[in-house]
Amino acid sequence: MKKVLLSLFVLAASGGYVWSQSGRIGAENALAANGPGAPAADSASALPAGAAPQVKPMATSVIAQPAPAVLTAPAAVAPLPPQRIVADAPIPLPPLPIPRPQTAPRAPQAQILPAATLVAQSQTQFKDGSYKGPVTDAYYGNMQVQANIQGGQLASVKVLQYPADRRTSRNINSQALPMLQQEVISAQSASVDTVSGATLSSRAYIKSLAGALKQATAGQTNL
Amino acid sequence: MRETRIIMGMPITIDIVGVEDSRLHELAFGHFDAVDRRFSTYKADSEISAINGGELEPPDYSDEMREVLALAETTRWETDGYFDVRKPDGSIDPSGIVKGWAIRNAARLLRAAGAMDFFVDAGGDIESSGSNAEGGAWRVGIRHPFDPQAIVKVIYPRGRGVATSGSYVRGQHIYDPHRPGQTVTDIVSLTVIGSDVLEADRFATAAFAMGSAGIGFVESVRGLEGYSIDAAGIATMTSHFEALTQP
Repeated sequence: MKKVLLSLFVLAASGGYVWSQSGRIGAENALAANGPGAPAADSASALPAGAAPQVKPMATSVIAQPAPAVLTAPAAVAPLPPQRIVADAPIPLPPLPIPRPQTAPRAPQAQILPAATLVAQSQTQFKDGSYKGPVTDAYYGNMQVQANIQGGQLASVKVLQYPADRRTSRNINSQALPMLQQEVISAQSASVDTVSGATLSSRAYIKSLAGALKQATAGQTNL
Repeated sequence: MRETRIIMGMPITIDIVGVEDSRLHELAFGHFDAVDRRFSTYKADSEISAINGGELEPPDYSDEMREVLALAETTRWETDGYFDVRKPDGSIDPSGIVKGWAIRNAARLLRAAGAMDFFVDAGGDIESSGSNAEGGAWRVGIRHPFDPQAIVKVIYPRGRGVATSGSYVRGQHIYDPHRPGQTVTDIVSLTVIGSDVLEADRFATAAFAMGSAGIGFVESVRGLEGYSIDAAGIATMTSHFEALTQP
């Protein structure tokens, strides 16, 4: 088994530079492997809200699993204090019936990302300008990025398209968090210094970025 | 000066105000390179690969590995097991905590080297310090989960760390450790603001795995604020989140 694992890692390392949670990439793999039309992530929308209410209340759950030796051996971890609760604000943490959709199984952890190599090695020798990468299929939608080169260096990566997995036919969790304020989100165009969002490192993202940087090497802007 | 590189499979941007050479950038990017070499599960010669391959025993772990695994274990306890670097096959994937740890350490390196006004953004998780080029507080947008060009909120972290977990980019990718094989789909984005980016990142990952209950968990932990967005585009915020949106 260890040999199999090791060979998987060797395989992955030879082709891919991308370092990321293999589970996350794995999920993408699972989607891709199922092929178009497979009821992967989107099957969630078919489930009624409130299905499978097998959620234990957070406050009363017991943490008793022993960690494996590999985790407990290094640097003894001090026992943790109980969760700190904000004293002046009673926290609504009822046992929630969280809908748990059926989804694709875990995919194998190793995979090859050849496109990433180009991106990883490309620190210099670009021509200034903005370059759109190709629109790449992320299975659950399209991905496209734009590389902005200044002073021969990659200055920023702008995401032009990414899959928007939007489902509207869902009941708002009105009973779940009665004390926390809610609002409907709306797009803003306010000026900011940087943006916080989920990590962009899917295979489709890397592929589009690699395409943009290839153009940057040639200096052929397509904007 | 602002510079972006792709390390650990994600764009990492370092912006240092009032600096015209790249010496400090090299220092911080070099740190990310070193973290990548040690912790990448995609590199056969990384320390984590050696551990997962059974070639390295706990007494031989590096100090960095011990620190990260201890942090992971701490987080697992603090989050009722929702954060877990152990995978069902028995291997360890610490990437869920390494990113925040690496950003925090890069920010510490920069401060120690004399940088005052900067931010480090790795894959959308951010630690900032001091002021931006206009002398104002750094402004961090929260990305719109359904429109990559737009943001839904502007926050002013003022030295705190900001991290966002989401499902909109890769499809579903965060697993509920209490339900093997199940992924989280009822919320699409959860942003956490903590005392530093490591705090924000590790709790964002865990709270996202809790689904719609995650924002309640964020509320319950002192020092954290959060902004959660569900699949219908409804946001839920913690009780003191709005203060962070004031310039």
